[in-house]
Amino acid sequence: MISVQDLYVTYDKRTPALRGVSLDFYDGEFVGIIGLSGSGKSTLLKTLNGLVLPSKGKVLVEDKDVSRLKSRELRDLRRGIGFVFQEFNLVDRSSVLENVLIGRLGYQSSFKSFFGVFQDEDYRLAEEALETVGLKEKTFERGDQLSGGQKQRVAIAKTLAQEPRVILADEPVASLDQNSGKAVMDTFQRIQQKYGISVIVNLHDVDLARKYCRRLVGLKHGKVLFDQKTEEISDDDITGLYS
Amino acid sequence: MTLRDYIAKKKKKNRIWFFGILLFGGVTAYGVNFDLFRIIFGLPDMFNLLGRMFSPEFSYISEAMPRLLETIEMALVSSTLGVLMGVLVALFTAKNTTLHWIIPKIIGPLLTFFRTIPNLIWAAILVTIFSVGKFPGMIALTITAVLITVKLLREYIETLNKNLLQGVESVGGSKLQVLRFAVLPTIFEHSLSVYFIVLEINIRSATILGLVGAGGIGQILWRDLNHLRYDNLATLIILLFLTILIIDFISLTIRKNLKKFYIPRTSIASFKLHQQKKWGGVMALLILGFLWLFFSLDITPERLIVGLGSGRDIILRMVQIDLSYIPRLFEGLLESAYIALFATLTGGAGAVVLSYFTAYNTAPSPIAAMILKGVVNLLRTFPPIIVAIIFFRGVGPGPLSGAMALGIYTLGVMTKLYSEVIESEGTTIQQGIMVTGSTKLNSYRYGIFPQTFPNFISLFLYRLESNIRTSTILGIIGAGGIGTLLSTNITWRNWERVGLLILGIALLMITIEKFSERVRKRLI
Repeated sequence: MISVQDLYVTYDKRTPALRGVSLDFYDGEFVGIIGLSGSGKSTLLKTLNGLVLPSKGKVLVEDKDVSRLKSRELRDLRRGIGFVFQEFNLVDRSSVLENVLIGRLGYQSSFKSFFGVFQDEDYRLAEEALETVGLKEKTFERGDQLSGGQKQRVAIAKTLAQEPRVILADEPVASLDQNSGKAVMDTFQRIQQKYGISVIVNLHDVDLARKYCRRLVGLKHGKVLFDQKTEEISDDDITGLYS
Repeated sequence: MTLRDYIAKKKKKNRIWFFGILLFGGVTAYGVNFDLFRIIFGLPDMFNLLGRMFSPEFSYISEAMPRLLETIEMALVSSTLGVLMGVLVALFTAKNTTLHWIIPKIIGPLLTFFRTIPNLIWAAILVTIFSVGKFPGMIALTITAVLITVKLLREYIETLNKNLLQGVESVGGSKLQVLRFAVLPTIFEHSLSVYFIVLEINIRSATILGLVGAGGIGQILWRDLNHLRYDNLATLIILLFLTILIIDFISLTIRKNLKKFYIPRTSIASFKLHQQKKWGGVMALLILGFLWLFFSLDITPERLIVGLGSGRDIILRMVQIDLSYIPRLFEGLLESAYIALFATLTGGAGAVVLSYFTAYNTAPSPIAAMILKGVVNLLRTFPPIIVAIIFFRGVGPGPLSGAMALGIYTLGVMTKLYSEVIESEGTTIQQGIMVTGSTKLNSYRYGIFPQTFPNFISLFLYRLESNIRTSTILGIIGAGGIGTLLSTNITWRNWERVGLLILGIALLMITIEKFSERVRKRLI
């Protein structure tokens, strides 16, 4: 469980991105965070695994305060949380397999992994993850040979190799065409149902959010406008969010 | 502003540019003792030397061969070691991948300072420490290789996208793992191409290090020069030329084909095997390299320890710079600056004209362009310090020889680079002007040249920086500039003066670099 308490984030000491956000995320949920660009969606998501640190307030993951963790503890926390980026963030010049194996790094000692030594278990998990996202036949291709949608699914396979409790996805389909976007969202849905991993996803496409997410959080100017089950959201709520 | 004003202003501006450059050229020509008659009267002797190069003495080749192989060996070993170390230093000193933000702040300025010292000067100092032989040469080359690698790679690493690093951070990877799994695979190809660039630079440097006794073919080159054996010199120069040409060709071929190296695996098992083989291979290569280095070095451990001791003494003396020597320092720097400016101006002006005939899209005929490309490559193959030797034959030692040699080199390099700019960016503009019924020449004068002028100035400034660095060493063989003072003071072991001279060169270099950086930024 992740608990966000009265969170403020300010960039460069001036521009406020989040202004007092309080939210709880429970295990096994499929939550969508929607709002205009600049509403603080991306910042919120990045505070949950410590990529961005709060200027006020707390983020508790399994009752641990993220901003108080030492670097080793922070890395342990991060390996339990998958993060999917808008721009995929793959290493284009490495093979698909190597990219998925990156998900196992949190479990390796720095020294051993420096020589690229992985256990049989790591390979098995990587293979399984690629099978889950339906890209097993691409295992040995180079990252830059893939299409955008395929790259994003490899990125998801990478987070699966982490054996995470939660997957955070920051605008995962914003750089993709409609069909690839749908394939990516289907993948999220599948793993959420199959493994019970909770998925928290930032989306600016309301129709996609309504179709896949069971709970929607609306962010506006760094504050929570609404936080409800998807079927309870009215069209007026949405209009209010984007006006 | 009326049209008439505009025309008047434009004319005035053009006139100011024209006379400004002419005046500046005149001053620098005076600075390097330019003398047309001396050049004309020297022509027959120079042609005579060039003519001899085409009939090399085969008996002398067999004598020079071991030295030539030594030169190649020096370049190969020092490039390999230098680039390996340079990659590590670059990774740990780039702002976005360093382990601690303080590291780049300390090491960065230190490397900038070291980079301003030409490697011939490194070699000259190291020779007095470790005695004549290839050991000081190897160290000097390795130092330059590290410095060049760091400069080229660090800039590249700093442009890497933050996303790439976050992709590994977000899974709980450590900083070391970010380097290994995100940065290293991404910079691998680029590092290989840097390796070959360094090799091309080092093979040129290795040929001249012998001028100060740091091993290689330069040592017999220096001897023949002192004995006025121009027949032997001609043979050596043609030998060097062929060597550099062959290494450049191999290096260019490999650099062009780097992208095709990726071999896809077919199963997890073969992937694992490949992974093990890769690291085994790298380890074997490293061990082999160090063994090679170990057995090829002509130095005993005792000599090394003695050398390190005297090295420390020299550094301690260099730090106490001799301030009374400042007037001579300025004299030397001024002459070096004149040489560099004269060479860059004449070479640059020549390149504007020659590029027109060398770029495929502007040249009168493709055959002419092809022939000229060959000529241009010829001009830039030789280290200027060797070309200066050819000019010695005609106009005698002094700044004029150095300036002309550097000018020819500049003409070669700038024509090559600028004609490539014309080829890549000029075609569309050219078409836009040619459809009005204009000639090719006018499309260049009124379209391509104004359009690519910022690129030209940028190239010009880079060349100026590099030429000032080169002009500081020309004096070592007597071709003018501050190098003359440096080499005499190194020979006489006046380390306090050497310290001052090096500091002066470093300050001049850093000033020029900052200046050209600022101008370049304003252009873009």
